Amino acid sequence: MRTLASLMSAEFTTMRRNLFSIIMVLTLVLTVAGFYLIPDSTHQDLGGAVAAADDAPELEAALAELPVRYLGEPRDPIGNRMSLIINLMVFEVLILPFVFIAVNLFQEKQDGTIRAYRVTPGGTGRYLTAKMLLWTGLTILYGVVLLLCTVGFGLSPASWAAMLLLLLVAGLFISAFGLFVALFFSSINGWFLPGISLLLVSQLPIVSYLFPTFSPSWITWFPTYRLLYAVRDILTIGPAGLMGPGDTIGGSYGYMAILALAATIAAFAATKRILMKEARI
Amino acid sequence: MSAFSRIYTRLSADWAMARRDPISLYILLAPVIFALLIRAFVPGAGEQRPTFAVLDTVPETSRELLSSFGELVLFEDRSLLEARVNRPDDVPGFIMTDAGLTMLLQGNESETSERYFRMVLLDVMSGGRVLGAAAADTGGVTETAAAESMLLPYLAIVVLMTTVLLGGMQVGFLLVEDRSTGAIRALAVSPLRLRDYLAARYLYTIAQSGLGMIAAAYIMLGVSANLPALLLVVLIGGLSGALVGTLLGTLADSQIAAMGVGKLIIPLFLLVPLLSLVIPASFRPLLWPFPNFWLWSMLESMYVGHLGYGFGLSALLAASLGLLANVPLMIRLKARVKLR
Repeated sequence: MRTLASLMSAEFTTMRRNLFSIIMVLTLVLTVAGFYLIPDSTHQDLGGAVAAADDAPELEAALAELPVRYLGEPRDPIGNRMSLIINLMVFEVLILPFVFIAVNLFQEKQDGTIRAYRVTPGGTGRYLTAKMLLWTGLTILYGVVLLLCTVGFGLSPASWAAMLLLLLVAGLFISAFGLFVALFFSSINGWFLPGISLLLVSQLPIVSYLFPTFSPSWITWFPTYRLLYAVRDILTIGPAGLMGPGDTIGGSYGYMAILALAATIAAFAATKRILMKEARI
Repeated sequence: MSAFSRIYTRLSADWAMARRDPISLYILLAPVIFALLIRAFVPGAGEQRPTFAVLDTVPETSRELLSSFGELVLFEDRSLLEARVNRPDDVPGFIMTDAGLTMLLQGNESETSERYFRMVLLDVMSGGRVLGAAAADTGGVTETAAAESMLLPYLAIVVLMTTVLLGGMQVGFLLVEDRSTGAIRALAVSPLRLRDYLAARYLYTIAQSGLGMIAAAYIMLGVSANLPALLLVVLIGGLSGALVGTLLGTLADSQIAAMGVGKLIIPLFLLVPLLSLVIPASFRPLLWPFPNFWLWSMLESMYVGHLGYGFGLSALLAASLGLLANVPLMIRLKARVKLR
C-alpha cells in the first residue's frame, strides 16, 4: 500500500513539475468561461435550421397529425451549452489520462526513474496500478469539478452516481490504453504525431453527434461513440437511460468494462516486456 | 554571411535532422492519411442517405417510396426493429398498424431529423404527391440535405486546420528541444540571428505542411480544392502555426511541459473556430480577435461560404492578427533563447 502511495505521489510530483496544475486550471477556466459565453439555445447553423412552423401552417398541422409512436419519452432538444459539456466530458475530461500518462512515462524515462524502479521489489503490477489509479482519480476529479462549475447542480444523486461509475470505468480503460500505446515509443518526439493522430481519429464520432442520421456501423464501435451517447443520456434523461429502451448507458458500462480489462492486460504485458525488460540485461 | 545564407544553412541542418526523425514524415503524411480515411468512410454531397428500419409487412409500394429517401433495412421481427430504432443514432422504424403505415421514433431524435422523417412519412402516405412542393415551400428537407452535403467540406477544413496546428507544434517541439539539449547555446555563438533561426524553422514547416495540406485538399475535395487560394492559406496559416510554435517554445522548458501546454493549445486552436458553427451570428464578434478564427473563415469561404466574411477580408485579418500576436511572443522568446 505504501509502495502504491509513493508511486502515485512521485507521478503527481513529476506532473506538477511540468506545469500540469497550471494547465488544468487554465483549461478549466477557459472551458467554464466558454460554457457561460455561448448562448443556451438549440440554434445550429451546421445542423440545418428547422423551418419555421409559420411558413406553412397547413403542412405543420398535417405533420403533427401523422401516425407516429414514441418508444421512449419524447425529449426536449439539447441546448448548445449541454452539447458543449457532453462533448467536453468525453473529448477533454476522459481523454486526459491518454495524454498525460504518456507525458509522464517519457519524463520518467528521461529522469532515469524507471531504471531506479527496476531494482526495487515494486514490480510491474504495482507500477501499473499506481498509474491507473492516479489518472482515473484525476479524471473523476476533473469531471466532477467541470460538472459542478456548469450543469452539476441540476443533476440528481442517481445521475451523479451513474456519471461517477462511467468516469471510473472509462478512466481505467483510457489510462491503460494510453500507457499501452506510449510504451511503444522511446520519446515524446516519436509518440507525438501517432498519439495525437489517434486522439483526433477518436473524435470522429462528433460527426455522428452533429449529424445523427450519419452513424455507419464502424463508427459505433469507437469507444468515444458509446461514451458520447452515454454521457448525453446521463446528463439529459438521467439513470432512467440505464434500463431504458436505448440502453446506451448500460451498454456503455459493459463495453467500457471489457475494454478496460483488455487494455489493462495488454498494458501489463507490454510494461513487463518493454519497460521492465532492461532490468534483466 | 547574408541572411539568405544563414537561413539556407539552417534549413539544410533541419532537413538533415528531418531525415533522421520520423516526426517530419508524420507531419507530411498525417493530413494525407486523414484525408484518405475521411474520403473512404464519410459520404460526400448527395451520397449520404438516412437509414429506415422497415417491417416486412409494409406494402411494397410504400417501401419503394421510402427507398427514394433513404436506405431500407428490412426486419421480420418487430422487437428487432424496435431494438434498431432504440440505438443512439436517428433511425426511424416503419410498421403497419390499425392506423395504416406508422412511424416509430425513439423520442430522442434531433428536431431536424424528426421533421425530415415526418415529411417522408407524409409523402409516402400521400403516394409521393406531397414532398416535392412541400420541401420547396419549407426547406425542411432541402436544408437537411444541404447540412449533410456540408459534412465533407467541413471535415476537409478541420483536417487543413489540424495540419497547420501540427506544423506549429512541430516547430515548438524543436525549439524546446534546442533549448533543453543546449543546442541553442551553440547557435548563440554563431552568426545566426533569432529571426534567421525562426525563419528557417517556419519556412521548412510551411513547405512540409503545405504539401500535406494541398494533397489532403485534393483527396477530399477534388478539383474544387482551389490551388491558388489554398497556397495563400498555407502561407497565412504559417503565421497561426508560428504563433503555436512560438507559444510552446516560450512557455515550455522541456518537451514534456510542451506537451502539457499543447494540451491547452490544441482545443483552443480547433474549438474557437468550431464554435462559429453553433453560436448565433450576433455572438461571433467574440471570436474575431483570434487569428485561427480568420484562418478558418478563409477556408470556410472557399469551400462552404456560410459565414459570409469573404476570403479577402478573412485573409487580411488572419495575416494581420497573426503578425500582431507573434510580435510580443518573439520578443519574449528572444529574451529566453538569448540569440541575437
